[in-house]
Amino acid sequence: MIDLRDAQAEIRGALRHLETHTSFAEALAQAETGWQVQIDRTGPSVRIDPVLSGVAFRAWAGDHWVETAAGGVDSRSLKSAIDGLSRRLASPSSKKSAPGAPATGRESAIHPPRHPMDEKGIEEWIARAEEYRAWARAVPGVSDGRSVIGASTDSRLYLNTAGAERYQVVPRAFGGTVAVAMENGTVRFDVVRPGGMGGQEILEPVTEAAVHEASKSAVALLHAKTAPAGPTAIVLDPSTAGTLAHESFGHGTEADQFVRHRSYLQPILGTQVGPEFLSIVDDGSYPGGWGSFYFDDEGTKPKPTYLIDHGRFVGVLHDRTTAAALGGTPTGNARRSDFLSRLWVRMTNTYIAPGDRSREELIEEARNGVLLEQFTSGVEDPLGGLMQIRVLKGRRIVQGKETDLLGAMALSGRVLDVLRSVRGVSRMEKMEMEIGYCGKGHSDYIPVGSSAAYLLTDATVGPA
Amino acid sequence: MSAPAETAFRVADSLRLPPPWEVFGQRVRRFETYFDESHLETVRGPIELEGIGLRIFRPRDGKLGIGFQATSDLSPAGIHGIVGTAEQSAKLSLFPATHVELPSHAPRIAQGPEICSVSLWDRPTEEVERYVHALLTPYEPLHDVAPSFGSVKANLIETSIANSDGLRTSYVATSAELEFAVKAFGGSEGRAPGEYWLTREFSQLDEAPLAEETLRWAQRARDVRVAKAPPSGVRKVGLPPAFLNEVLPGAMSVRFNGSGRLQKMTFEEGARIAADGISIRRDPRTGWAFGSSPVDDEGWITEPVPLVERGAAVGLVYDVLHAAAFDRRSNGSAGRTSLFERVNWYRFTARPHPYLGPVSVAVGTDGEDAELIEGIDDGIWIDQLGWPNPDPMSGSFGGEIRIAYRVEHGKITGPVRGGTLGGPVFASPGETSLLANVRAIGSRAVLTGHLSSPSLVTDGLTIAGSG
Repeated sequence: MIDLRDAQAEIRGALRHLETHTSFAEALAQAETGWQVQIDRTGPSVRIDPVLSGVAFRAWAGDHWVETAAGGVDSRSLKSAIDGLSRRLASPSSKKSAPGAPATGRESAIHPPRHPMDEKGIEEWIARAEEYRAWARAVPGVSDGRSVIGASTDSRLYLNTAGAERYQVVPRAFGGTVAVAMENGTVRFDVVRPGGMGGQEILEPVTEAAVHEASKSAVALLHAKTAPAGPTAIVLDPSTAGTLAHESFGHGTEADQFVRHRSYLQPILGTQVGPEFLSIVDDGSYPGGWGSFYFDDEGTKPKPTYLIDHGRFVGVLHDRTTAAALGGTPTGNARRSDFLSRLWVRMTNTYIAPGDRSREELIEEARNGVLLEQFTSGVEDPLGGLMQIRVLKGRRIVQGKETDLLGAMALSGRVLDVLRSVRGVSRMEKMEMEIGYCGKGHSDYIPVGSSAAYLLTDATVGPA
Repeated sequence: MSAPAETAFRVADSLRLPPPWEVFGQRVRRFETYFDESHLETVRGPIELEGIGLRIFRPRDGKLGIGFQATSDLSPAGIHGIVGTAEQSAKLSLFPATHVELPSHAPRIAQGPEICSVSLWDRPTEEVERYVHALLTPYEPLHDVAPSFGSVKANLIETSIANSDGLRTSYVATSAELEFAVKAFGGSEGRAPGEYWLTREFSQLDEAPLAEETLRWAQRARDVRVAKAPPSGVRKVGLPPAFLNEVLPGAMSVRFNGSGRLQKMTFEEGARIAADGISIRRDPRTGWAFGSSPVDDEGWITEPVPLVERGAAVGLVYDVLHAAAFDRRSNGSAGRTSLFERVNWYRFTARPHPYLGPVSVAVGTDGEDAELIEGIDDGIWIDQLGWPNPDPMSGSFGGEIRIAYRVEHGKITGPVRGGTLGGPVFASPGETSLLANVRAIGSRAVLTGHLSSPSLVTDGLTIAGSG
């Protein structure tokens, strides 16, 4: 694996060249290595991540940022990128001060997991994936268990013309099984899919019991009833409630949406938006989170940022540009997908703090409604204030009891109405951070985590 | 314009490997411009990336070991390194076929559908600037509507493919991505601003439609502000091509290809899964369709592949591997991207698989959209969901209605928003679905992204609203 620090002097030289054209420039070198084993009815398949590394450069052009990327860390690639960027910095206004304060000083973070995934050979992981598959196929009615295990190491070196230097190595692991059931042309599935920053411990939730449960669920979904259509009381399972936090408040609190006058939340910062027991937090430093890291891509350390604290909307997520524009402080949320992608204000791990109710109490209080389980996706609406979540399955709730199994559903609601209607959040013994990939709009996907306990509120649901 | 970079040829000529193998190379230059309502945010590019993906096939235990590795390090040491990794992964991967038939003939510079804009190729920076200007100018005289934010991204792509059977073929293409949002505000109602937010993928930056489209998007934003909740229930739903582009190719992507057949997820040939008037085919030679190409990503000359003919399932798409598994020949449908890919402007890092790609739906005889609307007694005409989230395994979709129009007695009576629309896109014979319950098919096809299609009217979907 390439050690980006070997290219540090070259990149520093490139920044010095840019410094003659601009008041501020920065570079983010990135290299990612990894592998993935997959096994299904066609056989085992091993994928090794491409050998792809390079450097993103960003410089202040007086009233906007200009960027480019070098598709390698060699001298020729760096020179080509810098020459192109310099041409965009020809205006004297490029010497105007860049917004906000840059990172300074030197820090690094290299914390290998206690049991790295690479401690075992690929053959052993294939055998493990085969074991997951066998667990799924042992359940009558399951046609296949498509199992996957993978690991990656994301190395990032950040340098800027203010002298900052940050180096970090972030290991991630993931794995699980998609249990597939088929009957007369109908295909249904359920999944076990943990992932996070770390090593072999990340796969601990993939147990025989968990795979059996998902497999039985896939078979049962072949005969699930169609979801009701219309407004109703809803209880969200932890994966879906976590997505609610992400889609409902997360995207609307990315402060670049404030700068664009594109957040329905902007006029209500500081007001009560939910019940006293509701708190939503974004935290890129969350231990083991799928969206965790040590420094963001402007060199800022991530930290817990309360978006809603005891029902009051108190915080937004910043990079240095939005912090300067809005009088805030960078929160460690400046992220790039990779060296080829631009920098944005992004979420990390977003979660709803646990409450003091039980799952059963929430189901009972819902009386008549729907339990939504196993999120598959969500979409925000930063200016309009709506949100969409799709789930794989659920249960009808009748007279405070769980009844019929329901197939895939979509949830829709006006975020502020949904939050004001929250009637309870359950306790949680241990927070499990769900894994997801979040796009800024429809591109620039990054790993994010989300979590919550069970949550009771109202929204509109329908079949999906 | 110059001849395409021969990235794969150079690497292939240096390889000393036992056959069969293939090299897929790309050189891509990318230009991006981001803006908000009043000024430039960020300008990026040119971002240059060149690399190859090497795939090898090694017979083992009556099957094929498949090795693949990609790199942007095209030095001799870099190539040597990925050969070793590919050989190693071939020892660990097994595919249920005994041989592959790689293409051996295609023009060195392949010609085919129109997929390369000469003006964009020759003047990318200026063309992107011109397009952004054409996008923003129509809003200047408007007082109640303004651009919210947007980005325009353009790619100049040189693709080359070489293999151990002597194939050396290449072509050039342009592509572009638009993300744009328009917001409406003010007015005596005192309502919150409304926003219309869209994404599009093209093979060229064509300014001609913008004068009309930008004003239509402005009206959508105004409509969002005043939209009411839709009604609930199973009603007729009008589905324009831009909406179908987000649903059909994604929902069909697994269950109409050779990979789905290996997973036993495909329909029996001849099974009736759609209304009689529905015919759908993969159509990679549609000019200016996003994803069209003269050769597929394994170098086979592309050709149309019928998938659904007059309501019956009739065909699947194959790449060389999945074709070999069924002892047949590839039908030129290999792709190195998917409709769900996180990155799609370069593809050399991905191994090929059967790819639905550009799809066309045959036109019907029920007229223009206005005539289709006249045929809806009680329903909605959908414009946009938050995201339809097509599920390629179950073949269903569902999402939140961001903007649609209520139709009563053949007339649009007002905008609706909120609630959900969803259901199966196709289903087992005899069951209700979007395609099985098509009641009207428009007479004019419109190309949007991956799909050329007329508008459809169905009564196989459920609306969940509170109106």
